Amino acid sequence: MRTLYAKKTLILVALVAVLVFSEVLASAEEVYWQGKLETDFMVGFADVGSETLMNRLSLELVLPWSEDISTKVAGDLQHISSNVDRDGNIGPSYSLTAAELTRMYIRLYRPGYDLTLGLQPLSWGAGMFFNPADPFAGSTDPMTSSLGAAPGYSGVSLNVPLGVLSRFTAFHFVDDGKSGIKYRTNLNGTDLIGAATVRPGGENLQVLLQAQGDLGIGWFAQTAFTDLETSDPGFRWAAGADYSWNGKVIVKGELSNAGPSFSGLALGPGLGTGDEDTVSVGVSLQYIPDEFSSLALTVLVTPEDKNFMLMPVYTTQLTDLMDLRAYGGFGKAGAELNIGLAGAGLSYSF
Amino acid sequence: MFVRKIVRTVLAALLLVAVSLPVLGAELSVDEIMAKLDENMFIEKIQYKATMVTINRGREITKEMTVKAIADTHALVEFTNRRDRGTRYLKIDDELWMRFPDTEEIVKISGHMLRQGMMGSDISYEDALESSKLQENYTAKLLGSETVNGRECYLVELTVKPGKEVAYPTRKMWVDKEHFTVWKEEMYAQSGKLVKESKTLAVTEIDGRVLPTEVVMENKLRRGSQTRMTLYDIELGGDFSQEDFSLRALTRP
Repeated sequence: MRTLYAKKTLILVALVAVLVFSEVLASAEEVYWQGKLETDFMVGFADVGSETLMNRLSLELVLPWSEDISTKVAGDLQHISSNVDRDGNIGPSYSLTAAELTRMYIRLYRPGYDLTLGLQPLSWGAGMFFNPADPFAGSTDPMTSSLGAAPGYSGVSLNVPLGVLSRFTAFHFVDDGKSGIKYRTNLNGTDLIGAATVRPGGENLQVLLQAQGDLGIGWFAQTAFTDLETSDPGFRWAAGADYSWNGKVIVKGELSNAGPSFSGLALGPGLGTGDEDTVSVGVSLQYIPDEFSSLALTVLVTPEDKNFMLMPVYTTQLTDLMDLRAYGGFGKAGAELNIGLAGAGLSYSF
Repeated sequence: MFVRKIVRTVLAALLLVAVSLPVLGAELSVDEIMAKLDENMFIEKIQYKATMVTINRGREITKEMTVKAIADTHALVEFTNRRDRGTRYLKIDDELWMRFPDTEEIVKISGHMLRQGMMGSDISYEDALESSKLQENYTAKLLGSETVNGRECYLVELTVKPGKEVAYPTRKMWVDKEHFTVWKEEMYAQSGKLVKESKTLAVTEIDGRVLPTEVVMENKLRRGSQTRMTLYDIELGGDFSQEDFSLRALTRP
């Protein structure tokens, strides 16, 4: 109830802010909107006969009122037809239509700071497959999390540039009362991030340290102390590297102590939310045969319980505005192959 | 008789020298060619808009971008075509950051990506964004003269100087004898293998310089593919400094 009230208050504040600045509407610079239409069809192998059709319309409107003020509104409309329930079991067919507002913020740019008010994105670590230190990674369940835009958070954030490659961020989100600070800088070619988030009363403290650099091979390492409701307090970490040959072959590898639990479909953002001390390895091999296409195979393995997941993905850009993709997810969680799907999708930007 | 023969020979020699003098005077040493090439092509500050068309097996993909750059150290690129709108790159020296429009987050990209195709094209970030003085990095050798696009050109071979880090250790350039712009270029890997070939299709004069405005690049490692880049709204100089190439510049509207 409190969250709903806070959300409504924030939307009201945002609308008032828009009205306050409406005088500058006449001088609005380049107003633009864009959209994307996506359709995906997936079939299951582990549960033969399962079918899911997903259609999604994403729209985004950007209003730069002036050089100093900008507003963005974005949302998704998603329709799912499926005969698979959230636990992956085949059942009666159902349809689900959901609309989600993913962005609605106004941003003020001043010489010494940026202030953003409203529903806004915030991402954290730089993990490739696992991002165990990211408190904003979102849900791993594709049935409940948006597969479209990165999630938005209602609140206020302040960005203060401290030099060319350094900046300080402070934020407060009204949804869950989470507040935090983040400092980012670059030292001798290495990006360094230090961040902390906490809820009122000092609950759910998370402290993140991350470094990312390049020694001929790109590398990153992150560690975080986390005290979440869902697990005991402890340290999570991830480290990885990437390299490319002639732009045609790209190899990425990553190790984490909080990789996927494989308890469900481990697709989408926030893969690294498994149990601590469950060391997982992620390796991907990407082949780029031409300028428009990419073929990648990602393997996630948890050696301790011998679980694994293979995710082949083929993408190609058909025209300036249309992309085609084909993908799969095959894995073992337990004694037998129990994750298996293949799908194909089209995206059209307009 | 003998004296007349000597006089005739001397006169003939003098005439030959006199005829040859203007021609010899027009030929430049390779260092002079490189100095004039750097003088024309090295740009301290530039901003422009560009269209990049990548063609492969009948498929054409077009991307639009705006670019702002300082020499070979700083560059800011924003893609403006509908599919990629809001994607931005910041390059400072050998470091590259990318701003994803969806998450609005800035992510550091590994340095080796600088030498990969920009947004999947045959033109790398270094190819598109850098303007460095060739004489600082390469030793030049004049191989001769050839005609390209109807223009008389010096054919120059460049070899990287010891200790210098460059994308292409060896390059061959066809340099216009009058305007000192490059009409054709071949870029070779350390192994001597031809990696890329670029041809200038159009040039324009800006502030007394003759600069390529339409270039087609072929990636020899990708059979049958080429990228054509057309520059327009070019401005040399500009009211910006190195401080304007910042993380904040990646997020401004």
